[in-house]
Amino acid sequence: MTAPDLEVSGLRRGLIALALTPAMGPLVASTLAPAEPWNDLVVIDGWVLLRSDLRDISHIARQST
Amino acid sequence: MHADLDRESASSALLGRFDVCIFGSGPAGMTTAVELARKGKRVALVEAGGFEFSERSQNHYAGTESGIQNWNAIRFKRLRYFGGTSGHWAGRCGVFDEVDFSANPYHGMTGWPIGRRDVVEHQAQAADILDLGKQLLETRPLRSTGRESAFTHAAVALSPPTRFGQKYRREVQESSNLQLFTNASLTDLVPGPARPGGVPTAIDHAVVRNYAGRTFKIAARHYVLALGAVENARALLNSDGAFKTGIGNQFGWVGRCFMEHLNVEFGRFVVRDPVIFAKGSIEVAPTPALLSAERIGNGVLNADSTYQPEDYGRLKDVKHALRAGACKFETVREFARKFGDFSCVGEGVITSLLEQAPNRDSRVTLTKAVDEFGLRRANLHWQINDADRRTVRTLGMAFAADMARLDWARVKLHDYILNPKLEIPVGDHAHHMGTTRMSREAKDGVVDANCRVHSLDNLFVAGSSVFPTGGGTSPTLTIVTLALRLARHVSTLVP
Repeated sequence: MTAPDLEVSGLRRGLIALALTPAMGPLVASTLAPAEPWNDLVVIDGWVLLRSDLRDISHIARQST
Repeated sequence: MHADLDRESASSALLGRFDVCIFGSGPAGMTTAVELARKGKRVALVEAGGFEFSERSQNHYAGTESGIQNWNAIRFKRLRYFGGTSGHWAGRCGVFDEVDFSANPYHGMTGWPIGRRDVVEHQAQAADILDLGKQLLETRPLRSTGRESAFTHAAVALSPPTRFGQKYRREVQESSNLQLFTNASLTDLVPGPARPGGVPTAIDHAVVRNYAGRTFKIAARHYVLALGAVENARALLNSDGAFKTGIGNQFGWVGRCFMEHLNVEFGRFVVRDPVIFAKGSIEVAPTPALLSAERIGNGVLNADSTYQPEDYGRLKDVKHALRAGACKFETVREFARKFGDFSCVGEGVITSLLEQAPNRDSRVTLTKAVDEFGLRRANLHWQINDADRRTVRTLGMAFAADMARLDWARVKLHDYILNPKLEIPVGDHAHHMGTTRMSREAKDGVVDANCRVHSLDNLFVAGSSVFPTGGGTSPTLTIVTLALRLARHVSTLVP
């Protein structure tokens, strides 16, 4: 089984620019209080991602424009 | 020995005097009865149905439902014949951990008056009864990735599944210590005389009826109700001759705190590490540290990536091409999912079995409608509360975070997990628990640590209706374990 490429299949391109703004932050931390800090995570359109994932996305975004 | 009451012609006859009389032949009742008979006690096992399923018997389960409805729990998710609901259970088994036996649970209601240490000696025998073989029932850490996880691999074992009616029929019929009565419906538990100025402290005899409407009596030193969570409460509430609010109900607990295991879909995921999902799915349980830190319920989360959608029919090639095309665009996928279960290769779904916090308002009550014996039927009102919503949302987010940090998968949580303003769609697992909850003090429940009804000397309850909390795994192994413990306790009371 081949996993689909996350960046292509999981995120709508329209959200990419939004995801890169600081205001997105760890949305989860504002709704509940998880056991661990969520500083390394970001929630975009329901996807729970590592912040490092965003670097790949921005790379994809640059390539696609 | 076996007697079919539908073939008995005598009316108002005393069917016998026994050391112990047990009502219900499901996993709890059968285990208790067989174990006591093996210990040389004279046992009556009273089953309302026959050896096979029949609509006439099952119809006695008909009732109404409110709260979370449309799940047909009261009518179809339990069975009223020899072997009880083991006749259609799926076989999943798990061990209640220390945290599941907590005396001071996260939700503020009273917890278990016994600990895992009080039942662990019976666990191996219970596993044998359920034919679990050598399957491990211990949690193990997620594969080491150099970082801590909030989850462990869940300890889940699979029974074949054991059908108690098939497994024990011959032993029950051939045992000289055990008298089985079939087609014998319990209609009343009649207390003995009260002390001057007091209330009765013991059951004198039980009244049972066959389907022809004939009435019989059974007398015993001790009685055990093992009818399932709905019927145990219904039987106690219907036995309201000497006790106006029903037997064991002086503090109003009978029927309350009905619990299920919550069946919630958390969302979807895409696999990042195919090795982890080589077997298709993983099942994880939260660590005690996470449960303690967050003050939430326990559970098992299943991430199943085995979706390999197949298309059928003459147009399957066209369907396959359409599916492949749709899967390339998230907007199209989500649109398709509005109309049904639509999956793409490489995706998975996260489902769960979660502990529900006990809740006084989630309960079994009696309605005005009666069955053919004149017993009032039950209404099952099932609801969840804010503690449950917090359990669902916290576990969903913690799991999604773990999957990302371990780089095993990326999870897309459903809106209702992330947005507390949305109601969570909750399903069930056909695990009926609570309604005669165990408590240290009479004011907090129905039965004591030995499963004895607080206010009576000789009436016991077996099965998951005694669970004060439901734990984070399937209940059958714990039901059988507690039944073995009950059998040993009752055997010490009989000379």
